[in-house]
Amino acid sequence: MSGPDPERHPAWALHVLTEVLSSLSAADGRSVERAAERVAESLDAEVVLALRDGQVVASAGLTADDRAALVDSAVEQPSSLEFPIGPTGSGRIDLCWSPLEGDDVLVVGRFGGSFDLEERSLLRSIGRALALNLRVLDALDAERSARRELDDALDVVTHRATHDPLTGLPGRELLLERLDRRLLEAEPARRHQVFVLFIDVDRFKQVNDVHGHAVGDLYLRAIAVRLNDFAAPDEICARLAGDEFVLMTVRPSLEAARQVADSLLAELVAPVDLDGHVLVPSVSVGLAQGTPGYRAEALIDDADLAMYRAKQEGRGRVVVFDPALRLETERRAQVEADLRHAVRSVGGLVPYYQPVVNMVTGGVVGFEALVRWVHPERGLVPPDEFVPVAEETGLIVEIDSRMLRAACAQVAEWRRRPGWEHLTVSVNSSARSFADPGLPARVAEALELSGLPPSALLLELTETVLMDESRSGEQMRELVDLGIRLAVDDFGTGFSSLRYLREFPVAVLKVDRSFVDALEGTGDVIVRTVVGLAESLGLAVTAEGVETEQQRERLVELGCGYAQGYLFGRPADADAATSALLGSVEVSSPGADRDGSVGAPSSSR
Amino acid sequence: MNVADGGTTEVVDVADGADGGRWVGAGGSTTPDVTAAVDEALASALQGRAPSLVVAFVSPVYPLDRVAEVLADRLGEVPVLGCSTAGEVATSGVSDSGMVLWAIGGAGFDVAVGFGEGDEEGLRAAAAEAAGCALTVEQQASQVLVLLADGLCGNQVEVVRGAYSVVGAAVPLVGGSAGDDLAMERTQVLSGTVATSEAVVAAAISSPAPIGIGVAHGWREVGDPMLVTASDEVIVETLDDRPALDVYLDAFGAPDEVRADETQFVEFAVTRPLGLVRRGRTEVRYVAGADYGRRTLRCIAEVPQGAAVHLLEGDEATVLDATDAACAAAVDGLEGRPPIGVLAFDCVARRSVLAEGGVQVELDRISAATGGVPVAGFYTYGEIARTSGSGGFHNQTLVVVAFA
Repeated sequence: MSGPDPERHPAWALHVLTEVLSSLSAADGRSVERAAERVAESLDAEVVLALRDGQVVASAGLTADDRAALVDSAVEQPSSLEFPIGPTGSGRIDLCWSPLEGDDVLVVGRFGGSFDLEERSLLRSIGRALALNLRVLDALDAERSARRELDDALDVVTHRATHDPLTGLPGRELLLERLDRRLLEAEPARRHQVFVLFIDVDRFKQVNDVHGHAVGDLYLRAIAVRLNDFAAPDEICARLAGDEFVLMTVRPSLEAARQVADSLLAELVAPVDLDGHVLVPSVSVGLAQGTPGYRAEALIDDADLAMYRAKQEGRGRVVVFDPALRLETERRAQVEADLRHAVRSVGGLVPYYQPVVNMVTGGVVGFEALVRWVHPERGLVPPDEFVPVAEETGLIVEIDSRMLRAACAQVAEWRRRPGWEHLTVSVNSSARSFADPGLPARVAEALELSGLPPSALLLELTETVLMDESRSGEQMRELVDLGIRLAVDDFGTGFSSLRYLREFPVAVLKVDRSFVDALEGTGDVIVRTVVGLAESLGLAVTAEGVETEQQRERLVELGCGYAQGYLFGRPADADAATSALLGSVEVSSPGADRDGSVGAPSSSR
Repeated sequence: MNVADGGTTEVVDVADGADGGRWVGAGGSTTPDVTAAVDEALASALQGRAPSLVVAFVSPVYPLDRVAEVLADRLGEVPVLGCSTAGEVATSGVSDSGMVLWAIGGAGFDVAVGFGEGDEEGLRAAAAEAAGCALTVEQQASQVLVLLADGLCGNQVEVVRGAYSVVGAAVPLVGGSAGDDLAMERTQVLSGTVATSEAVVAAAISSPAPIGIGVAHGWREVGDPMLVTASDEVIVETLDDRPALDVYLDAFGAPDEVRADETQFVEFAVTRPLGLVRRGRTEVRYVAGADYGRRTLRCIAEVPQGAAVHLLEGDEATVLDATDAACAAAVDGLEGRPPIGVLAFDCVARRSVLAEGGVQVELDRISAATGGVPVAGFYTYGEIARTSGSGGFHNQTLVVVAFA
């Protein structure tokens, strides 16, 4: 074979140095290794090794054993070593050791040719360049590492800022950002339409109240996990707040999105065991479709409205957004604004009085005070339009309080007239008012301000407020201690229970108008049962919504003591009620009543 | 008969090792039908003997995967590797559209083969993987690792670096980069029943007898050396801070058609390589193309930035002188034993320098220098020969490997 030409090019070493220096790069972490290879190739050397802090940072032409032998000799730095040549032979290899920095070293080995002065000088220069390059790489590594740590820390902070800590799902901001992006990318023409499912956990407050917040958190987490598992990789699942979640999906049609929502409902209802508390999740879902030009906020609002309707329709269902829902919401918002104004002003909300009569004598024994809203532009607003709004917004507490004070004052005034001293009044208390610990104080204040004897006031409660026995019992006893009496409104329509009738200081049962209507149709079983029950417990019974003579006669036959309804008088303002009392209606004498007073609410407030 | 004549007559070409048992065979065919060509070349190469290894050098006119299938069918478990070529060489002649099979067998030779797949990053890892076979072959007095690589995948220097990183200084490397008749579109390697690009195949051959390796190119320097002032692996951007293409064209006084037509340029550049200045020698780099827009030269092996290069040229006389030198060096490496067979990896560019009859003259000189023993090889896009030092990738060079 042809051997190397001993005649070197005059500038050979300089060219090699230029070539090796050119191969060093701060951008390439392997550049030292590449440079070492180039050194060996340029010098016709068989082996090369760079040692740094006792570690091999680059090597070529060395088996693991050879490398170890060379590393071991780094302290002595011999000028030659016995090395294998071919599969079975061995020979001496000449070595040239060049310092890098400190104890770090570059060693190049060649068979059959020691390194002359030019080569040794070249290798020292290369060694120095390698050392500097290693330093630069170290600095860059440190900088990259610091930047990576910073990036990681920023990632953590960003994740915390954009994700919900309880469930780990994206939060509102991130949802809006991603949703907006999807809305921009959506191609309705290509049947890629964006849909939002607004998911609200049903009766979550009850879970929190009954099982505690820790279980409530577990419950939300369990639902979040199911939602996340349910979501496809290209769908966005987020927690907005509290018990509200959102799932964004891209589907070709509303029908397809509706199927997703139905599947989600079915998926979520499997019972979950939370630290021994087994709960069956239920959610209400509002489904809305993103149309071109829509923003994320608006789409979520649409889905929210639809979800709200799903709640109203009985929960655990899917309702698709309809623009009419928005109109309804706007109307509702207007009602709320007007109602707030009415609550703050005088004369907007006034009590109307409906007479309650003794069924035996036909005489008026008292009135039920019913709230009426006289709107400055719309006139009389139906109670079923504003009472739900008042209950949702909490305005009902203020309204109840105002009605209580006004009714007590009016009836106290009537009672100062001769022959009307026995009149009573019944006033409704909403669930929110009843739950307010300040209710007994407000009742006491109304009685004191008006001078109405406590026995003339009947407070009407619905069956549902009696469900929470511990809290209701205490509140009721405080009220009864004031001397007033309590009635159960709409008896028979809710959670009728003999137990609370026995345990709570209830004085009157009011039979719902639906049962009175039934007297002329399906039968009298309910009314008969309620009257019998009341008799056995020593309670009075007032029938509501009596409108015909036949109903009155049947109620008398069944032994119902009191009644109210259009047959005896429509609700009217104080002046009209006074006129009616003075005119056609016979006022019952006190002796006609078992306990001297009675009252019952109508079916509408 | 001479394969280059297109005949189909069987070529008898077998020699036995002096100390019995070992043999080397070579056979070729230009029959268009793949099956018939394989059968014909095999019959010539094996002469009824059971081979330890068959290496196929196959013109791109044959579908290499089909060749692999037929070989596998005929040879069963015998290791087979090979590649596509830019011309095939056999004792009986040189071919442009044939196939040549080289086979070894008999007691003494031990063989292990390897295969490695590369990726868009190149063939370094592939070569390292393929070279792993050298660690499993029986350790005898001599060993060589034959490497065949996809000639159009990445920086071919990395093939040598990858293999060297595994076998180290103890094992000489020889071989070549596969060709495709200068179409420069796709080259392939063959391993067993697989024919693929972006891969390296290897055969480690050990022998109780010496293995001689000769390397020579026969190019001479033109003008003063220049500095590679900008390059990116195989792309030479500037020489002495001037656009490399312009420096190159001006220095050789290239005619107008070469300055405008890349096909003409490739033909022109085949006989005008670059030479990297190394310690006491010149490493040749084949110029495979030019970018007229960027005024750069494209080589198939790296031309490092910072290196000094010469422009090279040659003629028939210098090429044939180099043939003699390579053969003599290979035979010298046999330490006085007579050769029993030769492998030759000859650059396609050297062939271009030789006149019509010069190719046969080169073959005759190889044959004469090696005692008329079976010769097989191919015209390559790059040659591998690492015997000393750690570098070993060449261009426009002849590598002769003689077995005893």
